[in-house]
Amino acid sequence: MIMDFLSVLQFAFVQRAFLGGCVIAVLCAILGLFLVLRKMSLIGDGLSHVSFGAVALGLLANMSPLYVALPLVVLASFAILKLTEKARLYGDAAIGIVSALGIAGGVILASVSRGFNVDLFSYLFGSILSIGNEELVLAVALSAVVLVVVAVFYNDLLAVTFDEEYARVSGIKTARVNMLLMALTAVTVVLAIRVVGIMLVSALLILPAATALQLARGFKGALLISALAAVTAVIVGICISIVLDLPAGGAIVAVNLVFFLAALGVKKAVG
Amino acid sequence: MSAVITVEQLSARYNSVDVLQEISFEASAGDYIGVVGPNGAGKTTLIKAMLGLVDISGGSVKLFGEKLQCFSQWHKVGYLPQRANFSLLFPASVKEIVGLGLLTQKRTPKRLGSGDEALIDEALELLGIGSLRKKLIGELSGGQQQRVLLARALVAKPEVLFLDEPTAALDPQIRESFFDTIRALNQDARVAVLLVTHDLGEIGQHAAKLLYVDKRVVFYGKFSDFCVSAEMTDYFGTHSQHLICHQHR
Repeated sequence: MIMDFLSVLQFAFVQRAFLGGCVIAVLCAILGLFLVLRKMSLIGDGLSHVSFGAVALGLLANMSPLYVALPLVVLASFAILKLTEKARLYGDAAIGIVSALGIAGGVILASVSRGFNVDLFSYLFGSILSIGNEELVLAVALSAVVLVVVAVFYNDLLAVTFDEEYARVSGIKTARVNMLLMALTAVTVVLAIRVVGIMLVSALLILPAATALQLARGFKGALLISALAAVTAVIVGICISIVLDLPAGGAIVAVNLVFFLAALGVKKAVG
Repeated sequence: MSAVITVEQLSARYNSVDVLQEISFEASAGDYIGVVGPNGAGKTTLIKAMLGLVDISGGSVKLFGEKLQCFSQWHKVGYLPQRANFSLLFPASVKEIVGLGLLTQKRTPKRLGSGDEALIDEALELLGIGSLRKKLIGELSGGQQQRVLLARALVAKPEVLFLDEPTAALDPQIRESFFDTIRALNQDARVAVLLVTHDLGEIGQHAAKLLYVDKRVVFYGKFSDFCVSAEMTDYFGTHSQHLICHQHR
């Protein structure tokens, strides 16, 4: 059985799944920490629902869903921000509005097309094992861009996340930092759909961050723990999925949940 | 002496209600001004308007001679908000939080160096919380958190300090030490201080000037002038004026 498993690991599609999954998991883990601490965890849900509509549009137009979803989801993330600022709505209501719009659009487009429901299903529940070369290159390239941007603006993001008002008095352009965080989250959500699917994207953003918050003794430590937990969950989750023939997305989220519960247990035991 | 703060005809509205009406005053280096007034008088709004944190409906604010809209020398400004607006779950250490106060001096990518570590340690020692540097902010008491946020406000060695109800969470002993620190900064480094409080008696022990706000400026001047002002006697009554002034030194 071990030999069978090791031979499966030699397949290019499995190697692509591990590489793509790990890179995207790191993104989700890092941005997730900022989002969870800003009480914006559910933005992952909202933007993934917009992705549903965007993917449906891409399939209907016979274009790559990823390329259609990227700009649309980034625009949706700015819409959430503007609704919060201009329409005097709390963030959850703004996310709810944009999210509902995405789902409604997707359902209508799916109904109109009648032909691509099977493809849409793979986006709903993820299919990391079917990630292609082109998608992998795009995921790695975009991930590199996101990570560099986070590294460059690390202290701005930290300041705004900790205390937005004080960050403004520090001369930080908080509106720009908020837009940056939204755009990075939108890109990450679109990439993460391939790993765990539209239905489970928010788990990839929230669970590693929640795990890190139980154990970390500093912000950089929290980012590191969050990233390590997320990458380990992807590797273990894909392995479980191969061995037990389970959906990879569900397995990855389940492993993340186990890590969170273990961290909670450790925290209770220690302190 | 050039003005550190110049406020001219400043007005602010919230939900169509006037919160501040044509406030004007000026503060210079070395001024220690107690900003007082009844609840809902607009004290916090005034501080926030001077820092660009709330929209104003009229008038202007200048910091160090520069219009607020163009102001960029934020390293000269220290701010301690009334309520710390952060999550107790936040996994940042005291050192990391205080370090945020140094970002005003940095260009993107804002990185802290070894010299900054020394400044952070100096600010923590000044406030007697050096031993807490590795603690998480959420593990501290309200009073300790307040001192960490004051350290963040002081770490860049500002030339003006905006303090909004800074002693509300502090016990009497720490309050005294807090006021000693502020007095030393004010007198030795000539840092201008604007301190909002609802405790008129206490501020008289520390501030040299009084800015009494009740949506508009009721009084602005030296505490000693306030205490002999017949106009203020008419406004407050002899008893209240005496209560405000009896602790002034």
